Amino acid sequence: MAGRPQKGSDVAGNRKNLAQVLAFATALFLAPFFLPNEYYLTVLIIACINAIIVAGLNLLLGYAGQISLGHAAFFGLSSYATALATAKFGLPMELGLIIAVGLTSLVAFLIGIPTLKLSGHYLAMATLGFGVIVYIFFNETVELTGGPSGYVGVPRLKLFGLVFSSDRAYYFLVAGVLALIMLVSLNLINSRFGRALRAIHTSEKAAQVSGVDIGKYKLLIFVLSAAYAAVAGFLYAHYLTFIAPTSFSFSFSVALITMVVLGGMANMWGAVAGAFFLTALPQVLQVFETYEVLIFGGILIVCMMFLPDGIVGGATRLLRFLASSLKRKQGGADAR
Amino acid sequence: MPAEAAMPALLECRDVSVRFGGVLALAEVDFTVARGAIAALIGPNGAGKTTLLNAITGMAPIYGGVIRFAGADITAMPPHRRSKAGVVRTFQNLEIFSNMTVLENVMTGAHRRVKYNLLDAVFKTPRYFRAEKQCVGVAMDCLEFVGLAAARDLPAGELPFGNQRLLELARGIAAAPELLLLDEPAAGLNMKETRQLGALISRIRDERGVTIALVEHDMDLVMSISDEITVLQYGQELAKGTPAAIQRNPKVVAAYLGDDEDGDDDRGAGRANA
Repeated sequence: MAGRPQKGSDVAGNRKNLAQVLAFATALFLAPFFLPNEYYLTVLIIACINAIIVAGLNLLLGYAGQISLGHAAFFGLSSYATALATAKFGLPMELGLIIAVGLTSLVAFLIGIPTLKLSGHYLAMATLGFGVIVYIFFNETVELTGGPSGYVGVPRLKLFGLVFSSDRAYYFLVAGVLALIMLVSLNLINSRFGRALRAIHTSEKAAQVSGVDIGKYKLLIFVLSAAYAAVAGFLYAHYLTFIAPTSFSFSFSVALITMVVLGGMANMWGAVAGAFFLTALPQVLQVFETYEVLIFGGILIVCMMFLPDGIVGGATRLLRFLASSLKRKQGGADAR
Repeated sequence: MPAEAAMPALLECRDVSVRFGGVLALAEVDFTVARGAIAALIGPNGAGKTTLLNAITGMAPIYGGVIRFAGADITAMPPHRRSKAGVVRTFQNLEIFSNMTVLENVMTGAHRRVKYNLLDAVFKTPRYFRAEKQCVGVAMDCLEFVGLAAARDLPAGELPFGNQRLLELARGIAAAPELLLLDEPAAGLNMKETRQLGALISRIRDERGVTIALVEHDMDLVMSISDEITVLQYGQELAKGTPAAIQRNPKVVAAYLGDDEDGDDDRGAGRANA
């Protein structure tokens, strides 16, 4: 099985997935030892949290072809849910996690039933509306959420007797969760469920003829991607210990979509690349001060023009090109 | 209906009507397919052939009538449940999964036959590996059947048009249907390809025991492989019979060639008189 990367489900594909995730986890584990200072660790943590959301959104948008402009809202719902459960009601964090993910999934389920009957622009508008409503809710229910000034005093994470007080410990936790999420997602794609999702993307009619219950699958992947966002929201709230509505606004939903597209649609590693790139880029560009936004936008435009299949797609093409030209050179040398 | 007496009907459409707004696309049409037969549905453009196929597969809203498959009433079933019951179709405008390889397309066709749950997939249980291996086997068998085995790892969108038609057939038989509905399978194929397709369709019936109903404009193909032909015009049944009988039927000849005496269109004749 040489040449083209085999996306189909077979044993070799599964081994490759596992090897990729292990290599990724090792890289994440080693990363902090090469950082110049502790501030970059914060950037890495946020990048991992974003990558968790984007992984779910890629399953929904990249694979199943269903857009959501409301994923910031799911992220926020979970953050506020765990904040209120643990800080206001003093519940243990394990329970906070269950409540946050359970509540967010339930909301996604209820929202998904009517909205997923829509498609294309209509689905985008419906999920956008949901996101805006939730955003207004965070701002207006001042007594519950603290309103626009945010919710202060979310406790730092403590799970199963382990306290994650140092940033380094927190990073290892977040990186571990991300690696796990990647493994679960890759396994899911490499199965009849993944094939069904990709089938829905290109032809709903043909998917139905193959016996795929498209309504059920769309709802399943919508709820699953919201649950990913909920896990991210939980980790986010207990890391920053302060949350405010601005983190969960429409513009963040758009940023998430950008991460999916920029990284590479229907490519799980593209999701990670997109999230890391777009989270780190503003930090790198800070040296340009006033021109930061301008350069940021310029880079995005250039990326979309020259990398239509995303960062990972472009990198794969580049590697393939280098490999083939190297082979040609070697062939030439042998001939001589 | 002579065919019915010999073999029990696998598909039975009784008085099926489909309405799009004010337009009655199908008006109380009967359509029966005997088990093991190759039945053809012909008629001029706009006669409602594809609409009937859509109604049978659950993709057009049924306004009236009953559809029975293998004795069970499937009139109200959603499309994927009909597929699971054994009613599978191909499309006039190809509906290939262009984001997958050729093999994956056919594996998706076998979706209903692959049995493992979400947890098996996530934790890669032995059941997952067993079922996936089986699924690859089924898919390869179907690709070999239509002659596309060598193209298994190509992106489906890169196949030439004729091979995409074959791929749809492979995907259809991968579902192991009892009834396979083909919507203009020869459209866009040249004469040689059409002849090969005719042989392939007969083989699907003979070797795989799949009952076939097809909508087709290519009369040579229809006449050479069909056991029974139903002719539709203006959403109504015009004639029904064996290929030989249909070829001699004056009403059918009039509908296709236009006959001035009868008026191929009664409404046109009425208007002319007024």
